[in-house]
Amino acid sequence: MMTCDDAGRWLDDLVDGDLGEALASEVRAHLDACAACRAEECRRRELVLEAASLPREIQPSGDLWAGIAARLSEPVGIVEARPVRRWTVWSGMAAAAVLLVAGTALVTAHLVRSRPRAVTARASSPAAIVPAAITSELNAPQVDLERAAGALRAALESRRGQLSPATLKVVDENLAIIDAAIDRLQAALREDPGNRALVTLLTATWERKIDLLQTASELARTS
Amino acid sequence: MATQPSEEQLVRAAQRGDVSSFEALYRQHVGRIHALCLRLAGGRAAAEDLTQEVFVRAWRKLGQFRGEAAFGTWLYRLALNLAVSERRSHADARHEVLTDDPVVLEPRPQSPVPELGLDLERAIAGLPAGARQVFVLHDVEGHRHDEIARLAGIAVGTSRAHLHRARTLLREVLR
Ligand SMILES: [Zn+2]
Repeated sequence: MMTCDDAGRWLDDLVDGDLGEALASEVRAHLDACAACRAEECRRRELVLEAASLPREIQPSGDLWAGIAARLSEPVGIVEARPVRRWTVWSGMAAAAVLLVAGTALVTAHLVRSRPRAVTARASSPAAIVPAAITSELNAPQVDLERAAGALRAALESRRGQLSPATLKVVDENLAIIDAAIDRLQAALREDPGNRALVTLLTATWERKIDLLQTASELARTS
Repeated sequence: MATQPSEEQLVRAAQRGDVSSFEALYRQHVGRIHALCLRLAGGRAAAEDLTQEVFVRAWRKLGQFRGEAAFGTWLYRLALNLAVSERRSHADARHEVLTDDPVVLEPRPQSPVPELGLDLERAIAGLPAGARQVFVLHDVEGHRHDEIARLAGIAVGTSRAHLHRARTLLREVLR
């Protein structure tokens, strides 16, 4: 009989119809006997249905055509060179910060207990790990990011009056969460200074803070 | 009384440089393209930039459109490639390395933000970029893991892991 962990591992593939018949019937046998996994299967099916029925079309809030039309006569070189703006996550920022920090806490705990090699071996894509980049991060620690965040923070403080109380509350709450994560990571790094994975995670957290500050400053500027 | 020009006629006119025909094509397709960009980018400003970029590039590549597929399909592929390749080249990919760890996937006893009552769209926007991309492509847009893997330059197993993680996180946030 399959364990709950095993069944959980195959649940998504079962829901998606991606499991071979032998494995599928093993998982189904577990589900027949286990109410908790059956409930989880049910919730996942609901989520998949809900995702598939989201609207196919969403009109942009403003008219984008003027901006497009203005660029249609640009020389080719300029069009190619223009970067798409860096992704920002505003609408889901609260969730993003919570997910980030929940992840950070667990990963930090994990990294402090174990060697980073075990983690980096699970890199999501070959491009995601570039030893040179990690080395340079180790050599040049978080000073630049810290300075950038400090400047953005000062800019935001000077424009606080332009943000609504509700927005300010979300920004402040998320900054507090991110700062707490940074503190935890810095403490973990003091215990294990050579831990590259912690350095990478700390860099990512600093970048998240900068993203948040940039978005908030942008909102303050345009509101 | 003149009938509305067909999409094929609009495309041909736009290929000859007629901007107002291209605008008509934009009006027909912007909702679909923007929905894709919005969910993949996870934020409104980035999605609007990306949507504009898709149409600017479509205008430039219009000469390459031969009508083998519907114009909307061609445009959708262009948007998909742009959205996913932009993300692939983005340094954010590095953030994914650590949090792919299964430790993060362990179910947590408490919902992180029950009081926020996040709806699905907002919860999707809050996913980590890699998990969001795979969730949107697989569960919202209906692509298969092998297609997603090819598009995003990741392994099929990584695509599956991102989907598992996305659904687990969404389940927690939406609980
Ligand atoms: Zn079970």
